Amino acid sequence: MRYPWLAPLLYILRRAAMIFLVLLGVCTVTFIVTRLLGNPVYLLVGQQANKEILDNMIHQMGLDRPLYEQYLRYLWAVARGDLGMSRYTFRPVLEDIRLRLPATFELVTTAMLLIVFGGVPLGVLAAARPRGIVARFAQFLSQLGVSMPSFWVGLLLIYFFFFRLHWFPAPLGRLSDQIAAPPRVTGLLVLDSLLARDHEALRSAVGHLVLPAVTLALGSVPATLQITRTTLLQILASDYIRTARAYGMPARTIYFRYALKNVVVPVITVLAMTFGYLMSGTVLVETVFAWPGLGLYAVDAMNHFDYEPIVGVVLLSALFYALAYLVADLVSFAVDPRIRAQ
Amino acid sequence: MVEAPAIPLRRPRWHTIRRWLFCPPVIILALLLLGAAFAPQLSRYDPLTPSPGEKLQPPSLRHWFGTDPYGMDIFSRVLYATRTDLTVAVLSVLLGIAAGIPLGALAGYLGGWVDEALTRLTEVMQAFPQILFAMAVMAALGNNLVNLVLILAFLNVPVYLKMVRSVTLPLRDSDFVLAARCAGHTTGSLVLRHIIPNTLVPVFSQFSLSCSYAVQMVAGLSFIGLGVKIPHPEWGSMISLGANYIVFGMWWPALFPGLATFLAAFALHDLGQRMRRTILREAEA
Amino acid sequence: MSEETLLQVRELRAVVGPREQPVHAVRGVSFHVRRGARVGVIGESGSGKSMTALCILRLLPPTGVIRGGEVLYDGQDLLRLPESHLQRLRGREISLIFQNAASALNPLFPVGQQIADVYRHHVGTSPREAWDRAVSMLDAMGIPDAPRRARAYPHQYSGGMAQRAMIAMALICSPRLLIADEPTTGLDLTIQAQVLDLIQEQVERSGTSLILISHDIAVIAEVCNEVVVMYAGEVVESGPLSEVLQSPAHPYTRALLDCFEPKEGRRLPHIPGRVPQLYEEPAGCAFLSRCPQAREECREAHPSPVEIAPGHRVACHIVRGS
Repeated sequence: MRYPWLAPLLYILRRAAMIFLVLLGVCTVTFIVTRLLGNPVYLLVGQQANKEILDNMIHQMGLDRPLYEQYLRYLWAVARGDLGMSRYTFRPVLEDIRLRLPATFELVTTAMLLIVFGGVPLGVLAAARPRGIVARFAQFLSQLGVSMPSFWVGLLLIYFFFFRLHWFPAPLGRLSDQIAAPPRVTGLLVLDSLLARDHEALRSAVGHLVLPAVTLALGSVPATLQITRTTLLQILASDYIRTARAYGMPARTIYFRYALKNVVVPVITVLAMTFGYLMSGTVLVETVFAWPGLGLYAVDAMNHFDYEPIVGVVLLSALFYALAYLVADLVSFAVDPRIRAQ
Repeated sequence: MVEAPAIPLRRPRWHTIRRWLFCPPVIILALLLLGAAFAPQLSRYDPLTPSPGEKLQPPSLRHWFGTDPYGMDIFSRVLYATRTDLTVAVLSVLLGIAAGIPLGALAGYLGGWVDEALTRLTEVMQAFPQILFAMAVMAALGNNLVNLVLILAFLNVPVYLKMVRSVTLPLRDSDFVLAARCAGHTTGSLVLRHIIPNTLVPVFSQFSLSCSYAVQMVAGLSFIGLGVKIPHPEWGSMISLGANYIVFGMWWPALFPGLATFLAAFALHDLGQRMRRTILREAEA
Repeated sequence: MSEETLLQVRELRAVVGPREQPVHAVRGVSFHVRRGARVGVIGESGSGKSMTALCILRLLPPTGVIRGGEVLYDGQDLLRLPESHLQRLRGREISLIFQNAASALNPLFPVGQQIADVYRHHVGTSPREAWDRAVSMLDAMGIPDAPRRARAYPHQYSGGMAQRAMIAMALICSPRLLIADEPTTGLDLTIQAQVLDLIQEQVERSGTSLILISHDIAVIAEVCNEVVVMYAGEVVESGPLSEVLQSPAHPYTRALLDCFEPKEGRRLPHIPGRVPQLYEEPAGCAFLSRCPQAREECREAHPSPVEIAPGHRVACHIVRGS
């Protein structure tokens, strides 16, 4: 091939275009729901407002313009990052999101790490010894994980680890009241307190993070674990692993060289899906732990009948989800020559 | 290549029925349903009557599961809540199936741009964080149970659409559909008579799994205040009432409704898994 | 065991399937392979040919269990050898070629890499040397533009090419025994002939012994000089190829040969019925239900093999009776 960089570039562009289409679809659906099915004016001024005020509002918001114009204006606003104003914080939604994003990011990333370093190895062990103790434990954990509501698990954890055992601080936010936040660099408190070498803040930040992260991860570990287990089992029973055994390759090589690489693509895809799921699940967990992130922001907005912040968080979550998928696609592209050939 | 299976292959039918009737998930579900049906007989308290003198009483012989912050009896409320939660969950899944099957059959059978459009649409829906989406819709359209059911139904459509589509696609070119077409059947009657019956088996095993998930969604959304209003007995909103008291060591207002949610979700999920395994085994044999 | 015997399989038994209801897939199989011999194993699908091959290298699937017997290779019993010791023999002394080469190669590694890995593991050379050796091996197997093709992935190979690569992997360590399990199934007829020629040529040149497993008597007649006929997990007839072809003794062998050489004016013949899956070992002859000449004693007693000519053994009551 004359231009070896061309294929990956084209692939990325094609995937990015797909993602753009998906995001466009998400915007369209939110537009339909909020502007067509719902009436934002009523939400703003209430049902009792007189005709004059209503008409005035409708004109102000551009709701008397043709539909396609409203749609295009909406898209243009979203593209510029104009997600509207919050009616109870009195700030632009984008501004609010920017302030609260690090909290959610910290929580979701930690949960993701727990899933990757907990769920995947457990799945591997469960596949390696299908009748062993780890496999049984994994099975048990999966059963519980898929049927225990995460917010309830969070409450149970609070009861045992805060109220009974005093292992972790009160489930109120990200830091204890008495502790000053480290200077904001990344917005991730654990990282920031590390950078500031503030051990007290670090201990408090980690202490506050553990229970919500575990709660959030617990619901998604089963899916990761099961996918890892079943794909690995399939691969170990495959013809090419039999070939490797038939040619005297040692077990270490078979597992860590031949089998592992084949597990990567399905597992990374499931992890991307999990990421999207976590962005949603975080709403409940943040509510339980009073974690000042995007989920709690959306819940507060809902209690104030303020839909624009919620739509903003929806759009942002969709964006993150799409980006996670893009990363998964790129990894698959790098690992699997069959995808490269397409 | 089975020629000489003189060995007992199929056990008598009653054995199979008994095995299904007495498996743990079915027993759990039966108990929950019986509790919901005979809630008035089983509990001495009205689920909606507050009793200011008996706030937050721990479980006792008077109040088996204790009382909540309004002094309402939790045992009674858990029983009544089963009606709300299971109805909303099952109804929304059924609606989702009712929309998903025909759409999936159409996508798989017609192919072309219909298929393309529907597939893209499901992709878009997967990109939605489900809980946030439900919040957005209900904030815009109104926070009530009907909307909750409709949203959950909407969220259930893609699974069935995709499932039916993936079963329909290979069927489309199979011999018996070809034969049916040669016999002069139209597209519509083909979809109705041949393709949809063939997709019912996978849909059936998915139904229970979806219900398990829907029960958790209903409870989760009510937990953050969507769907039902506070005194109405519902597991999620009951948990949210108890959530504030957990840090003070009062575990009962949140524990029991959560336990009920967990048991219902567990039983439905386990039942779905069992059905799926059985179907797989039958398919292999 | 005589000096010239390389492999001797004795009374090999194996079951496969769920523990509660296993299928008796290999039921007392015995045969031997002399040095330099080319032994064909023939039988319908389900007759236990592939299972026998897998037993020899202890490569049964997880549900398979070897229940008894011996596999003597150079005097040592492979069934009782420690796993680590057997690992050194696999791919180096005894190589296996699988049915579907395209799926037998790891999809995520270049073909040349997989072949080089085998060489490097057994011979212990540098990666560079192993790679060069793999490329020259692919070249010797008639793969055009081998240095470039070695870097390609299995999905870029056609079925015939993949089978050639598989043969390269099998022969790269110059094994003393090659077991080829239906190596030409799924290939075009012309490619089939090429692959068979290649196997024959390579085996003859290096003096490797061959076990060729096939359901197609034409394939075996072309390559082998000895033949073992299997039915329902048992050897029913064995002997020199020409002897068995000219005077088949077992009714099953005769039926197989009839299928292969249809006589003038007859419809395409086939053997009615199918190979039974044996959940229990039958008291009498396993071929009973399909045998046109079955008698009362066939129902009651299991026939044991008898030598009817030098090297030609048959397990059938009728043959012994006549």
